[in-house]
Amino acid sequence: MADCPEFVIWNPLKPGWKFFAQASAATNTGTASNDFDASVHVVQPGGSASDWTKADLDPGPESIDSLEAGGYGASARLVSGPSGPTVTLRAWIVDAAGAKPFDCTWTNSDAGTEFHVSIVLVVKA
Amino acid sequence: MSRAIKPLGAFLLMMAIAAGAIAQQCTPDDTILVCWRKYNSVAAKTAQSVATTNTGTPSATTQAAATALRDFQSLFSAGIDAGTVVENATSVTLDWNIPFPFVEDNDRIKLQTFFTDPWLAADVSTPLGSGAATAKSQLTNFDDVATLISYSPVNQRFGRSIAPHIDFLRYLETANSDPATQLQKIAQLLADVPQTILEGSKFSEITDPAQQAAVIAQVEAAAAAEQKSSARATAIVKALTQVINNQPQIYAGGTYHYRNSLVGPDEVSVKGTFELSPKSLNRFLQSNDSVCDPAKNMTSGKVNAANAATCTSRLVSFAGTASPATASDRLAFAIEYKRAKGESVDLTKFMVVPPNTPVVRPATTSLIYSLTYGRPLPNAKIKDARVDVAVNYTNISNDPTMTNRFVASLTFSQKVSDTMTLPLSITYANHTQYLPQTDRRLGVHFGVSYKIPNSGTGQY
Repeated sequence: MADCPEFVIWNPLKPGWKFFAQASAATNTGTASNDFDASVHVVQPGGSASDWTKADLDPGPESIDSLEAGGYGASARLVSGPSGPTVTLRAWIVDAAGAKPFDCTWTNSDAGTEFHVSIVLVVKA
Repeated sequence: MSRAIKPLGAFLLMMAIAAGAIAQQCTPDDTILVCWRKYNSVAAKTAQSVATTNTGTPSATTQAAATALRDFQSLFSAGIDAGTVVENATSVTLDWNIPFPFVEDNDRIKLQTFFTDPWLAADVSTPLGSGAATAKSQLTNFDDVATLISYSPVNQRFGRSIAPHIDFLRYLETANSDPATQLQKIAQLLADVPQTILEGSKFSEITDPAQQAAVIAQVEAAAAAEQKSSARATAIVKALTQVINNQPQIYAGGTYHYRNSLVGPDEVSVKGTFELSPKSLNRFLQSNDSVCDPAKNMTSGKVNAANAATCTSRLVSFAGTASPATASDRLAFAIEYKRAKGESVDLTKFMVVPPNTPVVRPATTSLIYSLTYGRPLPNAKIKDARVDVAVNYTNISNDPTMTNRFVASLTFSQKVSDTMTLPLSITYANHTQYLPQTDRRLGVHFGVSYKIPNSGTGQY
């Protein structure tokens, strides 16, 4: 699956839907690597914020179990360590029926770099 | 004249600045993603791969052509060394780095196998006389094979991995503004827009002029915040990678060297190596502990952002502006204990008669001291090249007929791609192995090495 753009807008979402994210890293032979960092910072409609760290995301997933009406902003970072593993972040929405109307992955395999992902979640009542 | 030129220059400068500003302004005909990318070019975020840092030749740690930066990052590498020096004429090196998470999560085991084109040992070639050609023809590529296994711990003090430094990286980035708040404001504005706006939508799809203007302004603000955050993060990660690349490495290993008795005695050795660089993260943290230790700069779970910012600027300054974030000067010390098996080589099947046969070799033990200094060559015309100078001194302890041996090498290695390196070595030895004579040997080795980094598209 091709990576989504580094900036996405997920719209429209409904209150009560769920937002998930998880991260991992692997070498080019597919073996898991720990030489990476990943985090997601989520700002909620009231302005309160959550930090999801590598420990939360790997193996994860970390989630917001019931989205509220309004807007959410999520900023994620994927750091590939000196050995250059492919860091993968996956984020998705699960609706009331259990379907995934929005589901994205992003990867960074450039050793010693940080890649940013910006997600705008628009929840309409 | 000069009075006329000055206003003209100022005008041109202002035009240039204005043109840059206009290029970053978003219009109603832009999609939101296009607007975002006016501020945040994806191409600008790419950076240099450190897994593909030129680590010189992967050749045997026991060979003269060595590197001060042993590669524990690549999954697999291979090298061919074609030499004109009498000993170790041509060799092929196969090198695997395998995760070994049994002591610490990121530890590595290195497995190396060296196949050397077998040559008759000098102590048998003389008594063989005219039979030497027959004896040489019976040797195969498996008659001189060495296998090495070595262990390298990876933790906060040793090894080139970011994993043990995640807390430090997170601490540095607390000084960085997070664009999530600006993204949330975009989402809040779009929640009030009746149309369904996605990243591929044009601003003009928002029909209410006031809402359209507000969304454009907010996307520009968020994109600008991301631009600033990304630039800062790039600098932090690049600097941190640079100093992690310079972290000391310590590794110990054992080698079994099998040889046909016509080539030489079998040997068993153990070796310990310590590599260090002056521009390591350890060195930086030692002198900046007060502002850079996350534990010392945390109050009630809250990071001292001012100190984190100070630490970041000091780290960027310490790491320097080298691009790519490659390894700096590096020094490696090694000591190896080697035991060669005693044996009696029977040459009667080559028509050699006593007293020229058997050739008796006593068991010997030796200590080999090695010192290797390496540095990248910072010349733009020979990009990503490095030079390594190695000196080996072998002290043979229990055979008075054997002369201590001195080998020096100068290796220039040029990276031609992320996976391929061409090493060129000049070696000097005061005499060949297993002989008391002092016939000095000078030689040149050419080679090629291929490595598969732990990611990317390297194919073998």
